[in-house]
Amino acid sequence: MNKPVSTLLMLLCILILLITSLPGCIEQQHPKLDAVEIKEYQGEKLSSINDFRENSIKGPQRINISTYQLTITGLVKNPQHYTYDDLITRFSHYKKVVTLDCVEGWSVTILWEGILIKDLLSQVQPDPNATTIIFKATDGYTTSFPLNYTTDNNILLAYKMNNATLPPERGYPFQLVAESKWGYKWIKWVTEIELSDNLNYQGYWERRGYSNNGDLNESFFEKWP
Amino acid sequence: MMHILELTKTLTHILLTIVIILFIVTGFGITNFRIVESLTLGILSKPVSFQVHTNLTIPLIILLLLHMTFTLSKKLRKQHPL
Repeated sequence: MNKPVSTLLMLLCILILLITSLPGCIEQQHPKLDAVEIKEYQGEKLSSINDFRENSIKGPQRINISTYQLTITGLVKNPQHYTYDDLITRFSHYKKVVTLDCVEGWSVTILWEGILIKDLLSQVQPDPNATTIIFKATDGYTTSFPLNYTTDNNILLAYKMNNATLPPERGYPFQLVAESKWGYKWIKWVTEIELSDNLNYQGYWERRGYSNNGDLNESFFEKWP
Repeated sequence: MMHILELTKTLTHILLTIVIILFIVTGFGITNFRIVESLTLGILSKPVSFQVHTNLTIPLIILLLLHMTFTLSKKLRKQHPL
């Protein structure tokens, strides 16, 4: 091979190396310190954020946090719209280790941090006729629970997992921690909470044959879809 | 008698092939439901895949055992002819 050609090839290789390493350099300049997850909590071994399988109905949702609002409507005396900062600063934070069991057969044990649904409801003052709490997400996913399930079990609306802010794939800004329920009840990217008197309301998977109560100790199938 | 046995063998092999293919496809229908559902025009949804996949487990085991029995007995007969 003659000299000019080999020099040109070498230059081309250097250029390719520079281009491919550029994104890494940019990322290093802006490290995401909040994304450092813990592996153990009070002696309990935790799963990793990466142990989840992506199985949402429309893929991970990217929410613009500057325009994000959580709306609480329906059978309430005082409907509310909260921004992300409102929710993080105005309500008490709680932590608990809860295992998510997916119907697909995998499970993850995570330290969740969030606010109590009970605290949110106390602000909006539910109507005495409200029996069902319906959660709605930005991708059109919905699920519901008896109202007393969320209040009696101190159910969390989580914004952190393993001490790191939820990544978009895991439901940023908020994922419901529906403990003792199958994974399809753990709604991600929550944007709306509606209180209703419709005990038979069916969410996205529930309309397709999954059990409405989603209890872990029961089959997740209610009927042949 | 031999005719019925041969027919059973052929039927077992064909059924086993169909069941294995269905088992794999419905398995994908559970873990990659967005792709499978769109490829099958909504026929093979995640809940349907779950039901079919779960209900295929016992037929798959029975057919597999039958298939193994037929194959092994054929080999044994070849090694030790009467």
